[in-house]
Order: sequence, then C-alpha cells, then structure tokens
Amino acid sequence: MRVSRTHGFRQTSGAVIVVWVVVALLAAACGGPAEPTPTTAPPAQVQPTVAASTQAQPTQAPTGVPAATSAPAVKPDHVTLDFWYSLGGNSGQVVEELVKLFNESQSYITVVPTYQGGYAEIMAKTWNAIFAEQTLPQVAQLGGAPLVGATGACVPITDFTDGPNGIDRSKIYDAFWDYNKAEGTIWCMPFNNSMPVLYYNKDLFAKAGLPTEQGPETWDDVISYGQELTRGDQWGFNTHDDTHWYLSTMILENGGQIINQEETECLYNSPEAVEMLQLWGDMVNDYEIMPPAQHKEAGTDFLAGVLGMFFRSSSTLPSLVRDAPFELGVGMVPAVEGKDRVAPIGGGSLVIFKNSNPYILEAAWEFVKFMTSEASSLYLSTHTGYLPLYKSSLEWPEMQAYLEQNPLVRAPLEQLQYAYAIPVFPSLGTSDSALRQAVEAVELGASDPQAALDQAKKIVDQDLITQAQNKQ
Amino acid sequence: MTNGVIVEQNPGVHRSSWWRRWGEETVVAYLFLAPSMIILLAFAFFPVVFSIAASFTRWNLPYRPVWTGLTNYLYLFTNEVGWPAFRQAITNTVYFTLGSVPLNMAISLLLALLLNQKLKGVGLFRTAYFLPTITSTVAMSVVWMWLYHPSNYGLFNSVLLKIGLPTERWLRDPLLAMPSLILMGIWHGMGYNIIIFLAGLQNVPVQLYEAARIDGAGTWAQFRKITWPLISPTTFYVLVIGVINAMQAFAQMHVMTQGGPLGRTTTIVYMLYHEAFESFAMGRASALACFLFVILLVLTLIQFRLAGSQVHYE
Repeated sequence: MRVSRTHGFRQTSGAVIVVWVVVALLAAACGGPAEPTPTTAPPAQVQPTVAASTQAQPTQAPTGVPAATSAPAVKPDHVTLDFWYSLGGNSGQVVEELVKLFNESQSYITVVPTYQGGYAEIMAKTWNAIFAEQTLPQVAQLGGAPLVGATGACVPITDFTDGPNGIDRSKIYDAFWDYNKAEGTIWCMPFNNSMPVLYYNKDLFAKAGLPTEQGPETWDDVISYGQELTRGDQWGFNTHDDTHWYLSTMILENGGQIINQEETECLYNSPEAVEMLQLWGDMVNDYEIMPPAQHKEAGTDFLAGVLGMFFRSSSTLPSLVRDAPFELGVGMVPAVEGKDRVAPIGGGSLVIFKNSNPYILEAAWEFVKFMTSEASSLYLSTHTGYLPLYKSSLEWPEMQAYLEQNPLVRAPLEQLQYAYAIPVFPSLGTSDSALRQAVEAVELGASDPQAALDQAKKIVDQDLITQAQNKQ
Repeated sequence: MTNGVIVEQNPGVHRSSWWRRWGEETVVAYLFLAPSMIILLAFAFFPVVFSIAASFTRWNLPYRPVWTGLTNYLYLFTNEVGWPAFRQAITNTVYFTLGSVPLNMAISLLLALLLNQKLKGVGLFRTAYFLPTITSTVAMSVVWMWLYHPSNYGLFNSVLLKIGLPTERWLRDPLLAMPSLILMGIWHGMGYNIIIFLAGLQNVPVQLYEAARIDGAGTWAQFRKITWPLISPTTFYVLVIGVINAMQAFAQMHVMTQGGPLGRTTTIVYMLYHEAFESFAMGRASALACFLFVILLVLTLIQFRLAGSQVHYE
C-alpha cells in the first residue's frame, strides 16, 4: 500500500530510481539490514544516581499511576523528555519558546520538542507507534487527543491534576475538560483551543451603511447584512473550508446534537440540523450572499476585500490582523433567533503517555503543568490566536493591558462563556467529512438538506458499527 | 579480480567441484545484489505482501487487525455507502487517465519534434519545457489554485474578463474541476515526456531521412513512415508509464480540491488516502490498494498485448 502511494507522488520513475539508489548506498554504508528495527528501549534517558539535587523538584510520585515493579526506586539526576507537537508556523515557534522557558526554569528536566506535522499527520504517527509498539514520546500535543486515551496508551490526566502535585481544575472552563473526555474519563490537558468567530470588513460595512462597532448578532442579521454587502463581485458571507465545524455550530445553537449519548447513532438528520442546513443552502441559493463551494478561497477573498463576513477559527486572528489591508472587525458567533450562542471548541491537548518509570511520569506532569499554567496560557493566548484556559483570564492585569492594545481579541475571549465541547468519538474523522459533503451537495443544488443529512448519517452510522466491532 | 579478493579472504573454504562450477560466482553475484535486494525486500515486497494480507482484515488504527476475509472487498463492491463512493472513484480515475494521457502524449510528441530541430536557442526551450516537471506537485498546485481562483481576480478569470468572456468557477465547478486538473497535469507531465521523445527521435538514423528525401518523401510521409515506427518503443514506454502515473494521481487532488466538488475529483488513490488517514481504516485502504494494483497489472498486460505487435524494435 505504501509503495503504490508514494510511487504515485512521483511523476518520474527516474526519481524513484534515484531514491532507491541513495537508500541502497546509505544502507550499504551502514552495513546493516535496511528494515528499521522497532526499538523497545525506553526513550527517556535516565541516569539513576543517588545524588540529591539541589533543584526544586517534585518529591512524590503521582497517585493512581500504573506502578511498575521494575521501576527504579532511585530518583534520577536528570530526565530528558521527548515532546511531539503539531503546531506549525508562528504558533509552533511559540510552543518552542514555551518549552525553552520551561527548560531554563529548572535543571532537572530537559524537554526536546519535535514538530511532527499537522493534526492528521501527528495522529497517524501516534496511532502507528501505538500499534507497532514503537517509541512514543513521553508527552505529545495532539488534536482529538482523548481518542488516544481511550486506547489505553496514556495516563488519565486527572491522575495528575487531582494528585498531590495537582491543580485546581475548577479554575479552567468546564468545556475544556469536556473536550478532553472520552468514555467518561478526562484523558488529557487542554492546551491550545480556538472557537469559530465572525470576522468582518469594517470598511465594507461602512460603505454599505451597516453598524461597524459590532458584528451581526443573529443569523437573520447575517442574512440581512449579507444582502447589503453583496454587490458586483463582492460577497456578503462565507466560511473557511472546514465547513463541518461551522454547520455544527449552527446545529448546536439550534438545539441539535451531533451524536447520541451512547455514541451509537449519529443525529445529523434531526429536524434542528436539517433546518440549519436549509438556512445555509438558502444563503447560497436563495439570498445569494455566499458563493457555492468556494470555501477554500474564502480567506483570500476576505483579504482581497471582496467578502464582507468571514466565519473562521479564532486562531486565524493574528494573521488576519497582520494581513488585512482594511479595518478588521471581530464578532462573536451569531445566534439563532431567540436562542443562546454556542461556540464549539476545537484545538489540541497535551497527553502523557504511559511509562513504567514513575519519575518520568512525574517529570512529564511537571512539564505539562508548566505549559498550561496561567502564565503560559497568557503567553500562548497573547502570542497566537489560541484562547486562554482560565475563567479569570479577562481579569488578569496583563490580559487587560493586552486587550487595551488589541481590542479585537475581546470578542473571542468574551465568547468563552459560550464554549461547548462536541463529543470526541472514534468516527469523528468520517463524521466531519460526511458533513462537509452534505454541505457541498446542498450548496451546489445536488441534494436537498434532508437527503444530504440522511446520507451523512448513513455514512457515520456505518463507521460507528465498524468502530464498535473494533472495540470487542 | 573481485573473485580473487574473495578467495583470498576465505582461504579455508572447501572447494568442491559444485562450488567451483557455479557456487562461487553465484555467491559473489548475490553479495553484490544484497544491498539493493534487502532494500527491495524491506521496502517494496514486504509492504506489498503486508498490504495484501491487511486487505483481508478489519483494521482500524490503533486497534489490532482482525481477519474478516473478503469483507473489505464486499464493502467496496456491494455496500450502500461503499459502492457508490468506489464507483465514483473508478469513474474519476478513468476520466483523469483518458483525459490526460493521450493528450499529453500528442502535445509532448509535437513539441519534441519542434525541439528536435537545429535551431538557435533550442537548449533554452528544452530547459523551459522541462521546468514544470521538476517542480513539486504540491508547490505547483498552490500556484495553479491562484490561476484557477473562482473570483474575478483569479488569473484565468481576469484574462477572460479582459477579453469580454464570462468567468468560470474552475475547480469549484463540478463539471470543470476534473478538466482543470487534467490541463494542469498535462502542463506538468509534458517536460518528462518531451525528454523521452527527444531521446527516441535522436536515435532515428539520419540516413533514413536522407534516403527518403532523395526518394521525394514529404515531411508528413517521413514522419508517418520513418519517425513514427522507429520511435514506437519510446511511444509505448511513455504510454505505459503515463497510464500508471495517471491512475495514481493524488497530490493535486489533495491540495486543490480534496476530492470535491461533489466527489468529482476523488480518484482511487484519494479515496485510499481518505480511508487510511481520515477514517484510519487500514484494511479498507489496503483493499483499495490491492484493487488498484490488479487493475494496473491487467492494464499493462493488455497494453503489451495490443500495442506490443505495433512496436518496432530494431
């Protein structure tokens, strides 16, 4: 399978031959067999010595950690931790910076960060490592992280947060904990999170005679504003290409659900969901304020000044602030008339993988605790578009000073009170792509909302059955 | 010489007549083959066998595979969700292959004929035509997304507007998406084919053309009676490689369309990617890979059968 795929990437068999030759030469030079040997060695370098360090160190192993009989009884001098992360670009640099701050803050633990590609790529690598029993890092930052927990590869984070060296979990928004739950257990530590927000072009709003200080409050407003903004080659409203997230937002706001409590049946074809996809389709085909199937280009349209309102993740805020040649506005998620806003969170979390050495787990938690502390959360949220985790974040003096300078960040922060966690279940990848297909079918008039969502539900239910079989 | 070295190093080896007759040379030959054979076994044959085995399992990462016999194949061919998706992927793959390979070959051959002439600056043109080929598909796809941008400021659209034609939605139009990808594919694949055709053209003995000219043959007659038959091995090679590559098209779909709109650009390999790395259904993805492998094998055999008789080897 791999061979045929990689082969497909190459236009020339010549390139393949060159690669083969290079690999052959390398293998010959190494003199060993070419097959990568799966290492079973513990990845952390531990030097068990009796020397008592003068550094401030955690002294007690967390409770509830699967204790291994072979664990060294002696505390090591120094621990090195491997840390996989999946944030690229500016956000990735901020992660590296935080790791550096941690390494400099003490001398007992050294964390080695490695970028492993985006969410999909790092997940594939993690699944592979778990399946093939290959070397996993001690800590990783993943999207959809609680699914890893459900496989038994990592330690429930509550073992640490509720332990002697723990934290006060009630200081962090409940939605973030829900987001890290699978099968009733909180597996991982919330780290980088975002929510959809409504960006708008204040210049275009002013030109159309619309109020510029605030975005649209409801979806009805979006439609009426959109009609004012749509003229010539200029569109009123569009979303980024992860349309499943934005339609999910609307479905949740309308009182619908993605999946039932038992996670056995997808609820995409509920009346609440159909009503919202109908509304979405109407925006394209009836009100004509949104171009059909043009979500991949929505970002460039917005920056080019030919799109009035742009529904996208709050994590994009810094780059839009940097790139927009017009006055940018940021509003909260619009509400369904007469109902509350709902802002489903997305993003990544930190997981601590199982380890037979309690000192490594202890060190890993020390690192995770640092990365998600109030100070780090402030740092992350003021240097990237990700949100702070703490309920008190709006009251922090540093945050207030930051908001003074960057008033656009206020909307996403105030929106945190509406944060909501879509259940994380194993068929999520299939479920997202099925919903995207439904959106596309309705936008292009290939299907009506009911039929499109019936089809999406059918695809997800099919996958849920397979996933249930896997668990047995 | 090498034999001598080996023998020198192994003075204790007992030399039976069997050993002397062919054993020694065979062992030496295999020693020389070993590096690439190990690589091939580890990275080509083992994954192939593994993939075939995996296609008979239900294997969703990170769970262990479970033998389920033909379930994955039945899913692809009979399931109410699987079959429509699979049928569409096959249709799209065939569309892409039939749309791009013959056109690509025709254009490449034409350009190769032009570039085969002794003109000033022909080297510059040869380089220019080869440039797209060495550009990575992903980088090229990103650039072409700007060309195909559906808004008025997209490059193609702004040209259309300038000359007073209506704009198109290119990749976002279910009917235009695949032709757009085919067009880009031709531009990208051309350079490689031109080089191969050029090599073929330059192998045609010049005396044949001289003799033909003396006999009064025109350009078309020369091409029809000399060039075409004599470059037939090249043409055949380009055809086989072209079909194999086109059937595995993936990167441009991944970057530009994600298989859309309405699944109109979901090729077999893109569907494979979706199953393997979005749904993590490795068994099903392996079944797709095996299907594609069999199809490619059969297609290549058919091409050898049909075209083989037309190919003229010197």
